[in-house]
Amino acid sequence: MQTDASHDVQRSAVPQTRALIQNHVQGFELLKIYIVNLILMVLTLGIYRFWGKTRLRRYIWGNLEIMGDRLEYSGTGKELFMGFLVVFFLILFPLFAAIGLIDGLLANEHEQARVVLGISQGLIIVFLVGVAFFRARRYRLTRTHWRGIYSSQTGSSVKYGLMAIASYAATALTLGLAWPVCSVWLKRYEMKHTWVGDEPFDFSPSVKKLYRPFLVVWGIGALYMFGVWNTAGSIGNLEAIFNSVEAGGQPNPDMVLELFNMIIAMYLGLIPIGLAFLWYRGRAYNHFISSTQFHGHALTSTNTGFGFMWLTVGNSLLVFFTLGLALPWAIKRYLNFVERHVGLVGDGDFSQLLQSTQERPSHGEGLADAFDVGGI
Amino acid sequence: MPLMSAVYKVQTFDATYYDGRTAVRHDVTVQLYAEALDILGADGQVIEQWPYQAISLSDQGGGTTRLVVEDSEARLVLSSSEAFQALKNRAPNIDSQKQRTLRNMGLSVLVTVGLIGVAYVSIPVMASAVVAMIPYETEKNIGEGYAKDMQALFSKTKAPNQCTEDAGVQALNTMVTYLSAYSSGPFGYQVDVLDNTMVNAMALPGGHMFIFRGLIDKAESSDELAGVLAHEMAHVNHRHGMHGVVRSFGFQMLSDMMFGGNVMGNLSNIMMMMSHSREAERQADIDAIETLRRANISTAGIARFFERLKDKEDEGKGSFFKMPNMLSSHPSSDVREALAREVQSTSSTGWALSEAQWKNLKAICGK
Repeated sequence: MQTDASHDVQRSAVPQTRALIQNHVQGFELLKIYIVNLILMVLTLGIYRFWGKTRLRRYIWGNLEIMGDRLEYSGTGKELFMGFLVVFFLILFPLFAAIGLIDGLLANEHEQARVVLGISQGLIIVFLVGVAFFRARRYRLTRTHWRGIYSSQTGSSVKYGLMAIASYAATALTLGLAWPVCSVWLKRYEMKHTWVGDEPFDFSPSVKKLYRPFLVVWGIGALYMFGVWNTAGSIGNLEAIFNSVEAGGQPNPDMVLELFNMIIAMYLGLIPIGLAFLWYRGRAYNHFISSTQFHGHALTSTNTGFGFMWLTVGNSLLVFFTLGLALPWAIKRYLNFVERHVGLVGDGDFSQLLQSTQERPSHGEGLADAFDVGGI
Repeated sequence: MPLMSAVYKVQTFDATYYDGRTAVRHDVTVQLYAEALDILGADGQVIEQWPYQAISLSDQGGGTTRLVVEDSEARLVLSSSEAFQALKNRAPNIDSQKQRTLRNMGLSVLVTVGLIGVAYVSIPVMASAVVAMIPYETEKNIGEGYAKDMQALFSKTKAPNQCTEDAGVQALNTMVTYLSAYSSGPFGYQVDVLDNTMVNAMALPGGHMFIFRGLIDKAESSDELAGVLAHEMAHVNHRHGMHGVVRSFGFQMLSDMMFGGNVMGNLSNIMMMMSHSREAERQADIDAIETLRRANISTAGIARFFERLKDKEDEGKGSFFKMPNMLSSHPSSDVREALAREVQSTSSTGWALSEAQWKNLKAICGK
């Protein structure tokens, strides 16, 4: 019952690089779905989002082709809605009620008690966001089919949530320097627990390769902070201006101008930092993709840091100047970017890949919905 | 099967088939029979038979239709619209993408209405349960927190603009002490007057009440002010303020999470809270009348006062959207009737506030 190889145009005797995906998404088709979703969202006070999101995903998945076969999204709006109800009644409602109650009980208590409460609330939120992200990822993977087999995710969302807390704490304590290590740690956990059919991904990134570009960004950030620190002297101007106004007099116009210039410079200074960060993210994506292997095949990436930076800047401007109307085309541009840059090296033979035996959750993404980390 | 196809003209289509066990694509031929379709491999052998009853749609796009069959991971992809139509005519559980979308729209509207209904019924009940668990001491603390916010809100300078003319404060305290003997609840009462022209009064959780100067200016007799105080005391006794706090917290949380915190959610939130506060007002009115009767104070005062307030609201000057917990909603018509009846039977005999004291009270803000 095996189909002979001649049917499979994508298969080859010698390993070769080919595009991983072919993108068939049409901006206008996507826009139609977006507009209908928006209208229904308004009519249902937002409840339609579960069904709207599902419709959007079905369209996008169904228009991404991998090795000649389109993906399939098999999730339903009902599953997302059930996920929402479960999370709402079993986790969020009790949690927020408890926080509200404790908050009320401590209303007139010591400052310290309130600080402790605030910190623990923050930790709980970071933990839950991590858990939400990991669980949503599992739901989406188990609803993604290719050639009739589905993908899945093993691993523990609780463990991932704790890893997220540790990562954010380490990054904060090292003034950001720990971020590449932590991001590799989290990414490795994600990828090593990702399966297609009966086989997990292999993932072997090198932290060292991330540090060179990261230190460039970090250096620019440090320079900026140094600059702000140095010009902080002109904060004295602010005080002088306030004092003269309070005394009923006119502030020194030179001082006002200098202060104004400083504020403008502070904002403008953020732009190169933002661009540098996007550049780093492009580099990191490239490295993460190139470090991924599956079923005797390796992924490659030709995207550069600048390429990703321009893609993101262009998409942001596109969405901004059309008041969001061009969002579908931004998505299409992003997918085209992936199509252009992500390649697959190998003989293209996946006939030995078998159906997954992993359990699939019966509902999904409730937490991710609550914390808005669901993505598309 | 070859025998049957000799008798009937069997419809045949090309398709792509995935068996659900391996990641292998099969080019197949599909033949439509009376109760099921056959999937034939390249060698002409039947690979699988799908009963029409068990077939449903997965997705449609790019001119293709992907089908699934119950209890299987296998997929069949048709690439022509004739094939889809022919199958749709036989398989009752296949609907088009459009039909599915429409059904989901209807479903989501129903779910929305249902959720609002459930929230409307259950939140006040849950709020009552939560309030019952909150110790009186905690409620007092929360109320004092709000009181500070209130005083800060209504002070133009850094000093709170609370009215503190000695004689006026004394007169007010006499009135509060007298009334509190007839209005029993878990809290003691503290009444402060704020120098503001709003015709309003409010009862915070835990017994702290505020009266605005505008209301004292508007009151034509001490009976009228006593009625308002009795009404606010009833709010305190029933912990209405605390109910409001918990309820609005609950609604806020619910609308944030269910509806993503959008404007429509907030609007429905306000609407839901309003209807409940009307019920609380009714209760407070009934209690106020009872308190006044026990204290031998004529209820004609409060009746007249509400009458004037209603006239003002009818002119469209009602300010009850701006601040919570005030003399916001008018008393319902049956209470109004009861008030009217009381007017004929009661006259103030137990009243201990002299004309001079009332004058001092009117001048509590020194104006």
